Amino acid sequence: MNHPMKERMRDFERLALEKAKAHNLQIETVDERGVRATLDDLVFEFTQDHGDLVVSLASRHRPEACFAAEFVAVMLGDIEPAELASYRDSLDRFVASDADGNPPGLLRDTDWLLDWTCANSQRVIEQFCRNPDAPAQLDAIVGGYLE
Amino acid sequence: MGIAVLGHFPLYTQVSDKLGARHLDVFAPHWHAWSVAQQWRENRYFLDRALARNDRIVLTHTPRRARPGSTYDRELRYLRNNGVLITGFNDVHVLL
Repeated sequence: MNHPMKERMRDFERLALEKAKAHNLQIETVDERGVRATLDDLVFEFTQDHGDLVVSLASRHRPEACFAAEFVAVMLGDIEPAELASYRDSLDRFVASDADGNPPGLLRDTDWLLDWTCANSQRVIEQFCRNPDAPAQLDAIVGGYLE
Repeated sequence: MGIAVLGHFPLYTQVSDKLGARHLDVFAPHWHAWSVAQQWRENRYFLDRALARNDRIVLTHTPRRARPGSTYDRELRYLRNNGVLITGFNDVHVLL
């Protein structure tokens, strides 16, 4: 790994660990897949998208079924499906256009997602981690968003 | 024809290196000095070249993890708009 990449890794890990600790998460692993932390049955995976931290959520019982936190918030009704659909349409218009311009910003910022997940952790654990139907419901939400 | 890797940091850069593939790699200070519009222009150029070369496209992260509004989300939409079929929800899967 070259020096700029090592520096980039250090910056990413520092940011992810800082956010995890600020939300009282238990750090589990730090490796090339990102930073994993837990809160009871809930697994948080931190990665990065060109400088923006990405928060994905999984159940400890199904760690492979990991979803961007926004989709979990939609499933629980705290982001309206209509808002997600409208947002998808605006992104599609932007991506389909050849004109230069700024794309729509993120649907929710990272702090909102972490605050929401932690403030609603019991609901998230019940309705996402311990609900066997949750992955199928979330796949339908993701599928509709990507269509 | 080659391989282009998309996904989240840090995994996508490491998978790309292991495969000897291409990924969007802009020196970080340059990237952050650019406007979002400039970043997207560079990003789109990378995707256009991959499509023109008929590259195999490897996703290190399932679309389930594509944060709405992120660069990765836009990349997946751009590919779909250009006729690439995105199927399956497993991590590290291959398109084209």
